[in-house]
Amino acid sequence: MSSKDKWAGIGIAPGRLIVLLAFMLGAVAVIALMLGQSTIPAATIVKILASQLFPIDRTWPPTLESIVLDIRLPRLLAGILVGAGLSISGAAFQGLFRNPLVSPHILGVSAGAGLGAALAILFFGNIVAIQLFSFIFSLTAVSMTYGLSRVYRTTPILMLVLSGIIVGALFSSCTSLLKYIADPVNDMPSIVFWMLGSLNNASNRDMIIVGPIILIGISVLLLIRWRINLLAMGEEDARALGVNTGRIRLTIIICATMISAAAVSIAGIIGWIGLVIPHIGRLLVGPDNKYLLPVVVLVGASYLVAVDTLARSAFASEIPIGILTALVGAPIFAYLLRKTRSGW
Amino acid sequence: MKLKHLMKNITIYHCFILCLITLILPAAEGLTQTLEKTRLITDMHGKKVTVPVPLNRVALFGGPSGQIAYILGARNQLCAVTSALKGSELINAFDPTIKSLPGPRSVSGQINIEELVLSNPQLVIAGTMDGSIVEKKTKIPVAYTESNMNHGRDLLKREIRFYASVFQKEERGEKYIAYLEKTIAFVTSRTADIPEEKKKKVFNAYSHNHLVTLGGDTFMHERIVTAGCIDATVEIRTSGSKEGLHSGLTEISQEKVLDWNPDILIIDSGKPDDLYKDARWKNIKAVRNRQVYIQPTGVFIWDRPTAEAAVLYPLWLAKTVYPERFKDVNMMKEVKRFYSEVMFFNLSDTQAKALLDGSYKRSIDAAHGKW
Amino acid sequence: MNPLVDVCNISFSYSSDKAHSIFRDVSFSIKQGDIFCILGPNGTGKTTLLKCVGNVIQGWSGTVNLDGRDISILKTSEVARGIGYVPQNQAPSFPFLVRDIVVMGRAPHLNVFSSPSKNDRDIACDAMEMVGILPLAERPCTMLSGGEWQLTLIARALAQEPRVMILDEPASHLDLGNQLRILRVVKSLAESGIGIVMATHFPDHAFIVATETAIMNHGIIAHRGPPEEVITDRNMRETYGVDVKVIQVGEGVGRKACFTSL
Repeated sequence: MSSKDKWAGIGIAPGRLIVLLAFMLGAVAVIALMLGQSTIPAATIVKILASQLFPIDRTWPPTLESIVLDIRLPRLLAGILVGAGLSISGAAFQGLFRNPLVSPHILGVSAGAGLGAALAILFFGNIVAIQLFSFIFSLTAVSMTYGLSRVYRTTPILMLVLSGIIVGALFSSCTSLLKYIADPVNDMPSIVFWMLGSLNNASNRDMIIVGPIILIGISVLLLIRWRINLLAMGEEDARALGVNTGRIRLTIIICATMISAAAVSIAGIIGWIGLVIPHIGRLLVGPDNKYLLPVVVLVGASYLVAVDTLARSAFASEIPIGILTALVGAPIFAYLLRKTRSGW
Repeated sequence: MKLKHLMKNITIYHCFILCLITLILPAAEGLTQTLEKTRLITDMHGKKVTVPVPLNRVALFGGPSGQIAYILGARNQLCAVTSALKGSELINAFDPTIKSLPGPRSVSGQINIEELVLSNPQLVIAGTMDGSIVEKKTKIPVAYTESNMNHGRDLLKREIRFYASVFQKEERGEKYIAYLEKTIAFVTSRTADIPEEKKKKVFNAYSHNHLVTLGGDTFMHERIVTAGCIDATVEIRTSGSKEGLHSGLTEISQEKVLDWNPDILIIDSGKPDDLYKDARWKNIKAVRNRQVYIQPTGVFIWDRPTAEAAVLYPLWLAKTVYPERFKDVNMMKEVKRFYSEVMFFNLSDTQAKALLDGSYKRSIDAAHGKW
Repeated sequence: MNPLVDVCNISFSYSSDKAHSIFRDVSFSIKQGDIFCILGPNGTGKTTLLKCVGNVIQGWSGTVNLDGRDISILKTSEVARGIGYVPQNQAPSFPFLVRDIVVMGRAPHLNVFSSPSKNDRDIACDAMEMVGILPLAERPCTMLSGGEWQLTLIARALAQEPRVMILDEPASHLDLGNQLRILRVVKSLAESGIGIVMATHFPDHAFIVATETAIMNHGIIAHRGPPEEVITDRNMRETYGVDVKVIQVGEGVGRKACFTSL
């Protein structure tokens, strides 16, 4: 009986849906490479990409190649990695904390990153320092949260959440203090723009450094994804089912933290995705993480790439992506919620 | 008898009048004296404000306009300034007493009302936002300035004349305006005949990623055009201000810069070398031709709507973009002349050099860190 | 026959002070087909005892042997392959389907990186069939009744293919019909050779299914033996502080039963 995997959600077998979503991501990626301040035909894009691997005569201007390879490609990759990473971290955290209202930022990742970035903007003012500081500070914040929550050699979930709130508040207020003394004409806009999130600063070099971190995090979470189901049943149940809960919980926290810290360091604080994409995933395939996590990776990546394409090509100025993710996402989410009416 | 009676009546009447006059006169005299000790000024919103005479305790809000007090030679009439002005290294070099002046308005725009009241100002000069806060919380008279990113030199001249009327330094105000007009006329005379197709396109970029900009509807546009250049950002509009952002700056995409493809890139942070190494910038004409320049910083960095930059930025830009047309201009000399003639700051060669290569900017940032 | 699980002098305390222990020096052993019922008032440490034996919580002293091996040196997954634990539990916040939950019982047999195979799903299927919830397989667990949820948890433990199953008050909060349904399942599990340890609030349940009964009070096992010998008027009054009449019932029931009155 179990092999007839028919689902209440949308009536498509999860395996087939995953293939479908993978094609969707591919299509969105090609469109993202085509669109921008000028439209480049898909055929040219394919040729430019192919010319990197095969000897093909370059019949296009070098500027075009630079737009595709140096500007749009890193931005596309950043969109895929950040979208997929934040979504899977959110889904894993929601399972770990047994709470559908949890986002990847709950342990203080973004609060830490915010302070790191603000410090770097004030003292160094260059992109590398901003990325490095936000990464280090978000890891610091989560380590503090974890350390604070250790009680009697265990880490109760409630203590983790409370510690996350405390550490988050501490870091956020330090950031506010820095904003208070920041130079309103130069530093202040930089901090505000950074807080709103943007993929505008993504470069190929960033992808080489940050890409592997996010990819490893996503891979580990995907490998242990069925185990996350067990954690969702609760600490004691999971132990009764033979799970070493402490170790797997730490693994999830480390992976999700590395992913979101890396994502935040190149893209600033992008909200909503980590919270809502897991819900959209659950509406599509139900709560079983075996299917949920791959679906969430694909939906999250497609969604952020699509939104970012809009953010950079709709107007002459950029629209901060943190604003767009919710603006575009809220109606989609509302529609899905109404249509499936299955709750979660 | 009748006459006598009349006389008596008159005398009594006169006596009464006389008594009345002697009673009233001193009071009236006091009244006229008070009137003499105040005067009426009209602020930039057209509001009439009564200020005492002499006016020697003025609190100055609004970062970029702080230097106007030095231009007008009215430094000793100030009782409080902004923290931004106090943080300026150039100001500190020529006016060490600035350190002891209260700075009740922080760089991010918060006002410490207690510190303001303690500085005992007779008048606060501020923008709409700051001014309304002061008016709501204190009885100190407020004169409003009008300072925004959209208006260029005309607004600046009005601003200078307004400040000059407050400090009663009209002569100094007109001297600055003459200097401004002379300089602009000189730059225009050298650049006016550049044919449209020979004009260089300039992108003045803000922030660390060099992707933040003011629009083509701002003072920056006017400066770039004066220097005989094409403003790359002409299609962008940044009128009004954005939530959380002080000054109507906006962010553009990396691709947009490639789309504009400017000949000249002016940056306010980082180093041109970083851009020369960056793949994302390599196809921009300015980067390909090594035409990336870091801009100077005087009292403030020159990409802001200040009096110093209104004069010097167009000249500096024109000289940078079209060196062959400005062979006779020596920026070191021009900078030293401006600050000495207009602000009475006699810069050393080292200071003038630091100002031109933008290293004062970093000192301003470092000052923030020390808080 | 060797005992499957041998519990020897185990004690548990949240502090290091043994005087404040939850229970102390408890010993019992379970063989194939045994149904060991633990009775006792609220707060006497039954649940904690079962959690210790099921290796769900740590920090107890004494030894618990599973097939002659000390569980404190076994891996969590090795213990879970021998002992299935059915908690008193609420359904989770996510609407996992019943079959998703039952197949979780396969976890101790899988390595960290794998998910259930066809074989695992078949075993889960058999477990559901055995406890009679196969028709509910595709229902979200958030839409189950109390009895259905309890049966789901039993099926999940069954999918672990354990030799011993520990049930913590499986019939509490259930109506009469569901109580008996659970007992029938428990009995059939024992008949299939699984050793059962079960805490219950109903002395009658011990009469119906137990092969051995213990009364736990004030953290120790006060009485132990066949239900007919342990559940007596005197022991019930001593344990619960109320008058209870234990009477042999004929008329097609053929067992003892407890009766109370105000």
